[in-house]
Amino acid sequence: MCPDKELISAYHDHETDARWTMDIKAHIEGCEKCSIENSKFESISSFLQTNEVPCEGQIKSRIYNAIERRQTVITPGSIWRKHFDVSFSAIISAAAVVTVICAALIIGLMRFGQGAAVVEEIYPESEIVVQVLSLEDVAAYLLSDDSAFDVLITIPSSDAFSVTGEPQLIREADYRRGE
Amino acid sequence: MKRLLSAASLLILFTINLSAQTDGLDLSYIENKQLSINLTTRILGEENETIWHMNSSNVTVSGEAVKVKLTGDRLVVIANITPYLNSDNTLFLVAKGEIFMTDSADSEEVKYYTTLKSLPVKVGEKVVFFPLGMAYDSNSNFYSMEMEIQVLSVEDSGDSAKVE
Repeated sequence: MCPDKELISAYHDHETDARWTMDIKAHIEGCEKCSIENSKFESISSFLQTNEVPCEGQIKSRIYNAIERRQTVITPGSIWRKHFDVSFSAIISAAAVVTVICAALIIGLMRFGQGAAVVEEIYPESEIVVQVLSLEDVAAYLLSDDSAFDVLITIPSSDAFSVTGEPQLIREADYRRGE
Repeated sequence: MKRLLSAASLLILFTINLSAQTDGLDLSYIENKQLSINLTTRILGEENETIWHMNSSNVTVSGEAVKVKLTGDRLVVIANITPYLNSDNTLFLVAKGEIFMTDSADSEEVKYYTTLKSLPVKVGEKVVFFPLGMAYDSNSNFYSMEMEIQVLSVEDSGDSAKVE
């Protein structure tokens, strides 16, 4: 029984496994019909492996003419002449979706604009130059932003304040008991 | 057709609702975490007597510090008092103190001290913070400073506070 053309083609392309390859090879050597079929594949392969495909000048001109005809057929306006069957409900739903998308875009753009304005308001472009001559000036500058505090207290003038040990945080009950 | 129009209307309303929700801040997190901090700042004399005091009250939320600044001639005390409300309605109180001090009015040297103290307390319990330290020696000629802190839960967003 002769193998079919596809199997001979696969054999020729070395795509069959080793077991089948040996069997097919033995069959082709003994079968004239299959040997001719295999020779056809070999001739096609050798023809395709040549660098230059013979092409007559008349054939070239026919190909170029066909390409030019195709280019002239495709025009940008042709799609608008096509007829589409669209239901009224589909038009309404499409309009609703477009409206929602437009509303979301407008709201988003308005918010983006407001956010940019706020950022500009909070961080105005300005150059801050601090003149300090001593450590006291540094401390005065660091403590100058009173708006950051919730409670501002001016304590009485006195030179008697001093650090008298480790700061403590204790319960009042324990403190009074120790008195 | 009616169904389609209803769906479109719902979609538009949903979009508008989404934009309205992000307009304001979501305050639900701090709804039950409002706290009032009553602060009594005292200056104690050489005999540990109160020679000056000032009361203040501030509303805050759990985790947000009340920042106090006391300014004197050659002394600046900054105290950040942060109450953290636990799930069992107890508090964890954190007091951060910063002190800027000069030895004299014309001194070029500024001394800086900082401290961070914490204490678990109950709501309404009074604690005392000594940013300059505790003056145990009655013979010393220095004034001391104490800040009596009481954290209360706020029943509503007004000024009224209740002790639990």
